[in-house]
This record gives sequence, structure tokens and C-alpha cells, in this order.
Amino acid sequence: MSLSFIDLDVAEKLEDREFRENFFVAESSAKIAEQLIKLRKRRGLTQAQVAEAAGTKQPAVSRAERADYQNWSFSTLRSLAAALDARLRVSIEAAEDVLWEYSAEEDAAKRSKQKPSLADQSRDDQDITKQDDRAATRLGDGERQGGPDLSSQKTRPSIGGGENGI
Amino acid sequence: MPFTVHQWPASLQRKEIDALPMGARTAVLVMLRAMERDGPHPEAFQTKPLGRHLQGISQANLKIQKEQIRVLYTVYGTRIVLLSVFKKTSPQLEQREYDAALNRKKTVDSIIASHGDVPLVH
Repeated sequence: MSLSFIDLDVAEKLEDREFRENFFVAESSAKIAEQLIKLRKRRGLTQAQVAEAAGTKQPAVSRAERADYQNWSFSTLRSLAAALDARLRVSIEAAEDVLWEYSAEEDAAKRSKQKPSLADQSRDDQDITKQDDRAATRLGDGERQGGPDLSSQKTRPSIGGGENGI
Repeated sequence: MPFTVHQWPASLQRKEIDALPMGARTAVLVMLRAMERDGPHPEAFQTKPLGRHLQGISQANLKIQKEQIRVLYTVYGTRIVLLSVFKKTSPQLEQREYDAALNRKKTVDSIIASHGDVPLVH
């Protein structure tokens, strides 16, 4: 018997509109909470002190620092940012760009997991050197062929199909 | 990633996470990704170790669209193993899930004891 991994890759799931709408809400809520906690700690403040500076009550700051709190108002965020002496920056990104970002990130993670060990790498390097030497012997000086392999370059995914995308 | 997230039983993601309403399902995924990155108790999430009678099982609480979601898990070094994910609708249901999680943990413990580590399938 063995344990399987939970599939945490989301790039494919983000193609589903209902999934991505909900995922973006959950993700932004968690990020806001993480940033508020991190900055409050960096400032050495308690939730009560932030609340006082923002003109609100401590429970409101506590709620704001919960990843599952999803009822944001822009004015609350603005006053919390001001209380923390921070800039509030809002970024609205097209779903296909986010999908692309996740897709690239997950591909990179998969590639790094497949990376050979140092011992394998060293063995491979030796093999490549031997092959190169043989090729050089065959081709003569400076006649090696090749170039970067572009076949693995990805194209941006489109969402929703058709010319209009989403 | 410094931590890895696993499941026991193998059908947990399909039967328990994917069966949640979409808002809760995505919130759980966001939390698990945070655990994978930051460890079993990411600050912005409400997590707590349960009592000694539950043998070190931890619980994460999420409140999504007025629904209480509970995630029960256990930690072995850098491996986080999910044991149960459910929507809390009553204290009785929660108790049943605690009992189930405890049984599942015992199975995981015995698997680990027989292998010397967490045996994994990809």
C-alpha cells in the first residue's frame, strides 16, 4: 500500500469558467490576508493597533487577515493599507494570461522534478563529451551542426475557443 | 516545493474535495497550495492541532459562503497527508469524521511503519 499525491495543478482546471471564477476569488482573498499579516508583523503592530489607525475594530482586522474572508470593500482595503503605511495596488488580469502563467509554472515544476541526479548528470555529460568528440572527428573543425531546439516552445492557450476568446 | 501533500485513502480528492460546492473546492485547493509552499499551518488559514486523543491530527477550518468546511490532516516531516475533507453540518457528523480520520491515520501509521518512510505512488 502507498500514498498518492493530491493533484494541486490548476492550469487545466482553470479552463473551466466556473472553476476559475471561484479560484480567482479564493486565491485573491488568501493573498490579501497573507500580505496584511506579513506587513503588520513587519511593522511590529498588533491587530488592535492597526484597527485603531484604520478607524475600525480589532475583529474587523482579524477577519481581514483570514484567507477565507471574501467580502472585501475597496475602502476597507484602502484604509488598512494606509494604516500599514503601504501602497494598495489593484491588478486586473485576463484569464488567459493567468492560465498561461500557471501552465508555465507547473511545466517548470514538472521539469525540475524530472531532472536527473548529479551522478546521472555527470555520467550524461561524459557521454555527451564522447559523442561530441566523435562528431568533431567526423565533421572536422568547426563543422558541428545544430542549434536551439524550438520545438518545445509553447504557444499561449486560448480560453473559450473561437476568435473572441473569453 | 518544500512540502508535499498526499491523501489517504487514494479516492479522497475525487470523493471528498471534488464533491464540495465549487466555492469550497477552490478554497481548499488554494489552502493546500499554501501548505505545499509554507508548511502545514499557513498563517492566513485557521489551523489547529486537535487534542491528544486524536493523536496529532490537525484541522483546518474554512468558512465559504456560510458553509463550514473542515480539513483533517496529519504531518510526517515534510509530508502532509489529508485524512478527511467534509462540510460540517452537525456536531455528530463532525465526530463521525474525527473517528474515521483516526482510523485512517492508524492505517497510514502502519504503512509507514512497514516501509520506514511514506511510500508514494505518482
